[in-house]
Amino acid sequence: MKTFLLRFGITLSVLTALWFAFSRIPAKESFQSLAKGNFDEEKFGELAMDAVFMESEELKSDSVDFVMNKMVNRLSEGNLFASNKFHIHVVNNNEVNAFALPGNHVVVHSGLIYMCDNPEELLGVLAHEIAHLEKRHVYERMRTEGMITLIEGAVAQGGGATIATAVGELAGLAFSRDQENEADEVGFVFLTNSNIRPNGMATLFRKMKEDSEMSGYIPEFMSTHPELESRALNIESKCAGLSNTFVPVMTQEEWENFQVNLRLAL
Amino acid sequence: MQDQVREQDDREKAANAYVMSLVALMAGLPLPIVNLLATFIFFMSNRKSSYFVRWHCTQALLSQFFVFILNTISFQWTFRILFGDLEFSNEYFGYLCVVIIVNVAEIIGTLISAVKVRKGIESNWWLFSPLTNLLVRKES
Repeated sequence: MKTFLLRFGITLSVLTALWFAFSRIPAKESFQSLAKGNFDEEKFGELAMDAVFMESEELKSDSVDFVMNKMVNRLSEGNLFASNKFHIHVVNNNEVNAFALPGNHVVVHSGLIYMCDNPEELLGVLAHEIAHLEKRHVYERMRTEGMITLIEGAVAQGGGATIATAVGELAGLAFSRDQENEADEVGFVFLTNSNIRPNGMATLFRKMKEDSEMSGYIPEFMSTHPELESRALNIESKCAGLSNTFVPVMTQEEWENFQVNLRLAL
Repeated sequence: MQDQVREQDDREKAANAYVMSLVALMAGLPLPIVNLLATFIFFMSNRKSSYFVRWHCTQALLSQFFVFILNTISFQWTFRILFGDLEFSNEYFGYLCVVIIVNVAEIIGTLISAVKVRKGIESNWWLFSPLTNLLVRKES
């Protein structure tokens, strides 16, 4: 028995050492870069943001930076991503919209921030957009829309009208129903992992739906999100089963002050 | 003459223990249980055989059990990556490499053992022969 145990121990040690050694091979990164081809997401992200800022002025102030950093830090706390991984940009645009761009950029229109009655509603949108990025929906959608080759050429040339057109399309890009549902699910998990009350997602969806029914105007970003009512209901039913102790990211007064400061910054 | 025939028969049975596991491994991929089941059935049907046959059936069964454990983990891991909550990782890739190496070594070892045993030459696996010696008694 002693001989067997000794040999078994040696075998296990050798296999473990081999496992450790093979795990050092950056296989995941290699497969990802193979899947991406020559597409430089970071570079495209930078050029895309330049194009966004040509259309809408970026709202940068201590107050905006403080609130956005606070929100992303809080989301990163309970989840497996670094707080500096995502770049949140608030732009001056009254259209109610938010969208994700390659290179881990999330663009939030000021119109959307004004519509949010509390920080949890905006956090719901941020968690949803971050989920799209984490699940690589933006890249997948670009690929299925046949945009990659065009953008590759435009990135190689350092920008131009193609980038602006691509950004325009991405801002109103319709994700598939599966991708939207997955972003809802993952966003919901992001929020609950960070002990953020996830009801905000549902209340914002419902508010936008009611708003559009009253005005007859369907915001572009909402029109790309199918079945808002059922998604709101789905989130609400999931909220009912939660037993988390939610901790507010900021007080209601702080949120309202932020909205006022944002208007003053214009 | 009868002894010679019996000896031939034993050699063939013992070699078949290895061949059986190999054929079942090929047929049963990617399900890791098939080769273990086949070897186990062969082991059970030969538990009244001679010491030589029982010894090699046991060694083949032990080696298949070892590979079964490794393959089951990789099978579950792969399944969860494809249909579940896990993502492809470098650790998974590393484990897969180890499993492939062990499986290839196992197949080569099994083939060598089958040929050697068929010729009546002893084939003691470095890892499993000490445990086989403990498990198989001389008296039938």
